[in-house]
Amino acid sequence: MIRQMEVRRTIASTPVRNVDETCERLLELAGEWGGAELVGDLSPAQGVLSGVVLERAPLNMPLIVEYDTHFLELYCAYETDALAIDEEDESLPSRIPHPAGGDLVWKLHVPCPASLWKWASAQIKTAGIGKWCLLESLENASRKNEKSCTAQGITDATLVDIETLRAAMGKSGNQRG
Amino acid sequence: MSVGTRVRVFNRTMSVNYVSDELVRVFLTLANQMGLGVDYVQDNRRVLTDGLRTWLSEGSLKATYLEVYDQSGNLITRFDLQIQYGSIVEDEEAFYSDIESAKLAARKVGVIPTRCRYRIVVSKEPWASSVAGWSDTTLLSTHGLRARSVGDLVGSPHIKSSMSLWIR
Repeated sequence: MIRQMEVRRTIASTPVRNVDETCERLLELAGEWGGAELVGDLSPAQGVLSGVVLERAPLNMPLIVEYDTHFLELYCAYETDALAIDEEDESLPSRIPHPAGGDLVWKLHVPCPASLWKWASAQIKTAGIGKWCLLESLENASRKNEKSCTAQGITDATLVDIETLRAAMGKSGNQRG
Repeated sequence: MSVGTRVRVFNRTMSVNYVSDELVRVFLTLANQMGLGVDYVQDNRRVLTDGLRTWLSEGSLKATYLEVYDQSGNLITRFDLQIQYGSIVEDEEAFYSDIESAKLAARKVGVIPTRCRYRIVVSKEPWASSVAGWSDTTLLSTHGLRARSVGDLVGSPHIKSSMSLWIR
């Protein structure tokens, strides 16, 4: 699928916001991006969201709001990183365009660690939101990233730290002209 | 998108946010490591955090306990998280949680008998506010168990928590 419009933001979670305030902010941003009605549409997922936010799942894998070819990716920062985030950086560009008429079909992709999978699946089933609230495995995403690096021939041995490289160039006498 | 470099000022609310959320995260970790399931903590998360935030804000929370008990109501193990209130520390590294130590502590318990359950209990000052969803109780007897210190587990500029463990 071609992603027509992808917007990515990181918001501050604990200690700046507690888990409930974090979830409210995530839904607020979704509403700013996709329209106020989206906040109401997504609110049944708040219980699941609070669980995964508490376990820091959006630290490395985003919560994704998907509409057609438009994607909003939301990460959460914690501790020192949360303290360094400027609130202005959390603001979004203008709303995505909505087609005239027709039903809006949204999907919410929720990153979920294995430890919460069973509970989160049950929550989604109980809330009846399985058609649009989809769990994404943190562990599978991590394995995919490893496979991707291996397929491209990228291994730890080929990843070179820039500062190390500069120091090595300095020691060998090689200088940029 | 510009990258912000402003660092926020610490306040007590941040310490309350952090410690209350991390205490719940510790409960989840302990329950998960012992194979007891996370449903109790997650399903009661709102009540747990409402209580913890209220009592931490007013400085009335003294300790939280995770009790694991068998079908007869006998205590199998207990994790104590003592709360200490301190002065302001102007150090962003003062927000920390040692989830790995919590996992190690849970592993020390060994195999939990089947059909064991767990619950969260708190002790607070007599003048502490009432919070909906919490009811009075007493801790189960620790007869036959020994207390072992685990150490500091959660820290913030104004509040920190250290853990000890009761095992056979």
